[in-house]
Amino acid sequence: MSASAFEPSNLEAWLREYYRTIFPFKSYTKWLCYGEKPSEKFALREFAFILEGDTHLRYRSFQNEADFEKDLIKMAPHKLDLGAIYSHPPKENKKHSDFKPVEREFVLDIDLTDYGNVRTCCTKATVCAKCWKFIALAVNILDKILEEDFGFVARMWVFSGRRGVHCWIGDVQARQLNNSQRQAVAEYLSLFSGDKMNVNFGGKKVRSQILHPMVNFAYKCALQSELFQSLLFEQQWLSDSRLDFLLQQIEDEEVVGQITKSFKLKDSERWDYLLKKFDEETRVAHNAKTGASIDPPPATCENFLKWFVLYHCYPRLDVNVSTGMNHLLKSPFCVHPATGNIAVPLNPKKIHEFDVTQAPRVDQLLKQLRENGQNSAENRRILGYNHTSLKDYVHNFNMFIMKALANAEEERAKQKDLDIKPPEIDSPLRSRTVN
Amino acid sequence: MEFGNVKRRVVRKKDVIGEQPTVKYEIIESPHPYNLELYKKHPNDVINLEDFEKIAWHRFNVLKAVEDMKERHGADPKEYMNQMNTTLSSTSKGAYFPVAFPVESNQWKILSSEEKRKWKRDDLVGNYILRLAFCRTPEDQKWLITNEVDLFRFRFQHNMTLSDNSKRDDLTQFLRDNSIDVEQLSEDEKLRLGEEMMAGCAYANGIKTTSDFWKINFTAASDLVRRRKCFLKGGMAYLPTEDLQYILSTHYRVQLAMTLNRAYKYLPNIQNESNRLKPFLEKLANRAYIGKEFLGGDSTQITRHMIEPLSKDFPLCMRNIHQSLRAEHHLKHGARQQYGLFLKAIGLPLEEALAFMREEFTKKIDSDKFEKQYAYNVRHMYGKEGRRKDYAAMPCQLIILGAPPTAGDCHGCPYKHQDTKVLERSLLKDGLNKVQVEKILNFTKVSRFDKACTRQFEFARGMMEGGLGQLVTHPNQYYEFAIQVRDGKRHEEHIEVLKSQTPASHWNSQVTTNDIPPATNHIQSSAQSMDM
Repeated sequence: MSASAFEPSNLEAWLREYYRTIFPFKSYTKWLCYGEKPSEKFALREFAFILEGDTHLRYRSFQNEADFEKDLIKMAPHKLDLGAIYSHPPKENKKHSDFKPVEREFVLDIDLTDYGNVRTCCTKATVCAKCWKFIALAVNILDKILEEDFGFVARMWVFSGRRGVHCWIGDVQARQLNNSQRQAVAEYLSLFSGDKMNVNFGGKKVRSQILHPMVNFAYKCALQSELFQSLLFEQQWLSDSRLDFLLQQIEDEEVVGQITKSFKLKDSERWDYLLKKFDEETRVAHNAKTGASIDPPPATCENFLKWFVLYHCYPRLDVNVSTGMNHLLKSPFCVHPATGNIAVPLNPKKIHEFDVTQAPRVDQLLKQLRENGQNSAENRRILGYNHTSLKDYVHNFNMFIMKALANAEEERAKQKDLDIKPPEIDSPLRSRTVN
Repeated sequence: MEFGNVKRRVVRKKDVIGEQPTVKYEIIESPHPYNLELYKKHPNDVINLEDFEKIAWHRFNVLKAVEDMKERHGADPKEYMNQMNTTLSSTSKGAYFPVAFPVESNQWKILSSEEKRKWKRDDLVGNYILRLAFCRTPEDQKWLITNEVDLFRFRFQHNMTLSDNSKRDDLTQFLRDNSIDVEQLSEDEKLRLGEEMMAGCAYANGIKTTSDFWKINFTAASDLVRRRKCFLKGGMAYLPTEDLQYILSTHYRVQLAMTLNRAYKYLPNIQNESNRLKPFLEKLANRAYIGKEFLGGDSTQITRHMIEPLSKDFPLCMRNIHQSLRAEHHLKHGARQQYGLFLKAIGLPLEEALAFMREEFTKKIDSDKFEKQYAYNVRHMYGKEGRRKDYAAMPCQLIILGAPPTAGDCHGCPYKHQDTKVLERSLLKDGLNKVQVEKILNFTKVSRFDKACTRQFEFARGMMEGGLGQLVTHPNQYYEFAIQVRDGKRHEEHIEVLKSQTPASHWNSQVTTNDIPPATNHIQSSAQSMDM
């Protein structure tokens, strides 16, 4: 794949061609139907087309796959956004007084621009392979928390096309969360308010602080990850110039002195020192192995390393995206109009292997299709992506759909069981769609 | 759940007496009845109109007291619980058992089963009547929900303080009765999750094995999830018994909001009750905001020359209009109405009002035009023209819910209608500091205009937060308080007097004269204690 710069002048034609030949309509519709008839879910879903010049066409909806495909190819929007499932087909939004969103995947948004004060390799919109490690680590951590704490099974991580990822959670329970529940989950997951951390790690004025298990869990995840190790040195979090900032977090004069002393060593030895001093497991193991007797840090800064690790690498979420059921979010397989990159679903297990500078690009995909897909012209419409590097990503997409459909099936079975018993109409604890 | 039908049945008591099955308040027979109630089963027995009103006023008074308690002691949970306890559980003063009956075995035991039944019934019936009365506007609904939920939460907390072993069984029974999908952890599970769970629940002092723990779907515990105050695993939230109150009160809030909307739908069903029930229900809802009617002309009289010096004790809405009048020499209809009636109620006689307006208006228009276009309006307000109705000053509720000001208007409630920037500036100009202004603005953001205004009153007079001891619900009430403070007749210390006086007068007024609007009574009694 050549890495020549993307030339957006031809975008219009490419988009039309891309939607016509490569866009995975079949999987896409299958996803949005969640195992039901198109009229049940798909037809009630809001699509938003964003045309050239930032013209937003909201509340578009389609009867079925064919209808959607026809319109998408015809309009060839620069961006395709997905909204909620509404009580009525969104195109009839003005006809019904009780038109309101009723269901929507729970979504998360992580963007590298929020990492300003810890990202030293690039700034603002530029991204490199080093930056991607922030995202990869963030996905590793969040993916585990979403599974462990909330029990969500259908999680899809999608490259946003430039410098971030979106997460779509398609579990029935996640889809049926109301706005305040969405906000609750998002706030639970978010350790940052703006640039500042909203977790109390103790230290100044506070003596010892019990941390929520989720915070400890995230810390352990990060510490065990190789990504963290490479970020630590690549982003120079332990460089001389950072020393003052780190020491601001510590009150204890003695510890300040010790850390200052350790900074006379090389970067990797600085880290070794911090680990042995502040990470309980490392310290205990080290003491047992070598017979050394490194004292635990005083209570006022016992969580210093946890703060350090999470401050630098814990996922920084844009909470506002998650809280509104009807918030529009860029659809998977949409083309980023400025970079030409496709918003591809990633495999969270292999997310560190994804090369953000070599992401599938609309012009290159079309070229691949022209070169590889010659002899299967008749199948092109459906399977066009099979002849391009998009294939693997559609596979990721299908894996997600499988999980989401299995979960939907499971919930339907449960619901059937419940329906046999007298229905409990009034209980919001049971019927979770209540606002 | 034909709510409307129920009410119909209730009212046509005479026709149906003896034919309706009476509802069974089964819990009464249990040796350890819990006093938590989610009011899911509607009452369907017969009740006479007198009882209907009595019960309604009684519950209303309790909720009003709940609101007052929170306003006064909201910042101090311990004191709040104490005050709620003494206020809501005193049986001695009223013939009615207090709504928040503490089910401490000995107090409960001395009641006859008839009394117990009555208590349970009143609790249920009162809740349903208030739902009907407070379902008509979002503001009413909000008021009822807030205070009902606070009452519920108080009862829960109160139960928690009881040492009685039975409270656990009661709670389990309550949860089962209301089919709330929460499961108690077994000892094994508790040990297995151990310390991690304790940390998740923010238990500061290690394992507390004595406490019971529960698990519930995380969607039902969103408040706790948001604050990371419960342990989460596989979509279940784990929490100690104390924290069930958040779950249950959210549950109650949602359910109450739903039933209020349903009650609103069925409201037309009692249309044919327009003579008996409707006025009563309307009166009930209005009392939540309006204290007494300010008609003016009682005793104090002021002249137009006194307005300027007095205006510094006007609430912000009136000062805005006053300043606008001085600057523009004109007022549009909305402002003339709002300000004119206010002035009338503080004791400005008709002749003075006419002269006052004329003096200002004629700086811009000639006096002929004033006589033709505006004098009628002033006389009308004083009941000298047209319907000849002696209009009362507008309460906050009317000002807030009335026609909002458009360009060129200066009426309305500044906390509701004014741009935040403008409001901020005028508050700062009043000499409030940034922190205080921020507090006030925060109240306006959540539509607590009454609280915003009350805070402004307190801050501007150097009182502590909550020092006024109640909420401003009427511009003239604001003015009266301001004058009392000015004359040194109202101090913060008076709260102490109020504390011991208010509850008693509540129950008293209830028993003796249930046709006197109790809220009025409340304000008057506070005013009396002021003079002591």
